Amino acid sequence: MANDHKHQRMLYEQYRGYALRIVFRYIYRYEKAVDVVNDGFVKLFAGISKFRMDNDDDIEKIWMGWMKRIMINVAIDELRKGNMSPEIGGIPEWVWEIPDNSQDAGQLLLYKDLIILIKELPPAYRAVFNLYVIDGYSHSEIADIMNIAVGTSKSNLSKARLLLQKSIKKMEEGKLCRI
Amino acid sequence: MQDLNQNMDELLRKAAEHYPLKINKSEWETIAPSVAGTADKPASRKKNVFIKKIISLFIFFIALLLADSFINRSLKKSELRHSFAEKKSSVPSSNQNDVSKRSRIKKEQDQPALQVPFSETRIKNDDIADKKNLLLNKKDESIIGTDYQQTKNSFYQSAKAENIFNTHNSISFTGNKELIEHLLLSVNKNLPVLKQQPPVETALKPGKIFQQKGFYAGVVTGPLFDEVKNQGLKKTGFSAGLVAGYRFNDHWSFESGLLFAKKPYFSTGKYFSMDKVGGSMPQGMEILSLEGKNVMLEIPVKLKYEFLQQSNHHLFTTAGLSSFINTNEKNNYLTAMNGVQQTMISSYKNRSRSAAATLDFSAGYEFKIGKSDHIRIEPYIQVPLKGMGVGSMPMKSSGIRLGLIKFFN
Repeated sequence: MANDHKHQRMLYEQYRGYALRIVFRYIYRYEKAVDVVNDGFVKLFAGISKFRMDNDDDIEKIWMGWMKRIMINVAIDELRKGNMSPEIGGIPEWVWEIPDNSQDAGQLLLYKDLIILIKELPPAYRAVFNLYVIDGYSHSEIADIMNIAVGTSKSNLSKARLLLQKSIKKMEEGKLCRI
Repeated sequence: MQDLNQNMDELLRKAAEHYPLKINKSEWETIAPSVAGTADKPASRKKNVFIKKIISLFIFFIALLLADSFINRSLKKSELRHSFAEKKSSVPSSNQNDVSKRSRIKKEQDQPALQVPFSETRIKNDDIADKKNLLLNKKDESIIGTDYQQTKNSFYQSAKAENIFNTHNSISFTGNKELIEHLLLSVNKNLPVLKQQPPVETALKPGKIFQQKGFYAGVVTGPLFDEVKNQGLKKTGFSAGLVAGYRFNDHWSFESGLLFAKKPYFSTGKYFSMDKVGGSMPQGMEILSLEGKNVMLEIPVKLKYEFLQQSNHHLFTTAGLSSFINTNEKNNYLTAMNGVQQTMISSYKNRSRSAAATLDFSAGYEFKIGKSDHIRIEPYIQVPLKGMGVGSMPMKSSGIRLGLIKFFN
């Protein structure tokens, strides 16, 4: 499979949207996130022999979990390379898909706003929040991945929560004002 | 509070799963070579690899030039010897018989002197030379004139430079300069045709097309990379404009110009001085980082030295100072005030000037493409002497300029 380009391409095409959704929560810039996803796929295909299929029924779940782990590791590496320094400038509108009428447009726009709030957290807080709340890692795992103390992980999470709560409150107030 | 957190977490998890992100077209072609193992490096490192390749190529190019220069020099040396030998044997044809006769007689006269020990030869030859010089001064100077002196000097210069004396036959080149002078003089003394021949020096040295004095001007353009205090590069800028200069001699020139430069940069807030913009920002606001671009007019003033000159190409190096006039500056700031971070965009259109703001060094290569046109390739570096822009940030620039230069004779 490692040398089967056709299948590799199919997997890439099939799952790169899923991978980008994960990585874009960690990496602020869209273009950089795309690069990280590509790097992630290169690593994934390079180490595909390590992937074990124990139960055929859950193969996609296991595959996606494995892929998620790789993408997160590559994204954290990228953040570490940039010394977790904060990015500046807004997120351009073109990176968002415009929901069509058949979907719950209001809900999707809310999701978009919430993701923006996560992305606007300082990188260290953002990474811990994503790892713990969204991706389900424990504080000790986070400490290992990010090379920080467990206490730092906990503290970063609580600060991230506080900032998010404030931002959500602000966002709701803004919406009320507009109404 | 815990419930609130749980609700928020649940909402954010849903958002993370379903948020409407645009997925661009596949970039499989970009990663395919890496996946295939032809390039084991991740895609984002390709840019670094590209820069490394360009640098290697440039080093290889310089090495090639140096090798070329060395080979050319060696070839010229052998040509020089050959040409000198030819010159020595080919005395003007109109007097060939006379000359050979005289030479034969002279050789017959001189032969015994050459076979005695060196010191004796020298003494005898000194006498001969003195007499000859005396004769020359009195009689022949008017006939031979200054051309003789030129020919004599040129002959010695060329011969000395190329160490020809050691390579030819032992009769002519005993190391006794006076004897050689004597022989040459006896051959050339009454040959007015020598006067019409070009001086030996001119005939032996290849003509250097770059040895022209005068004005030159041209256009240059190229990418540039700006960084504030070694914080790295993010975006590429560019500069383009006109340069003009005056060449004093075959090595030195003075050059100036007017260039339009677009310089992107980023920095942490600690290198951004609030002196000029502090008044327009709320009190207590701190700049954490910024990303921006500066559009400027650049006026370089520099001295240029050319070396390793060949008939159609040469290397050069320059050193000088550059002054800048800001025309437009736009910064995206990440600021913090009372613990809250926010982004802020500011645009400045003041025409602030920074005289002699950078110390410039470059080294490059120029080659001829026409009668008076040259292509120039010039990598350079600008070391900051003072801060630039509204934040007075010390910006180090580097880049490469490509130019088309025209020489006016």
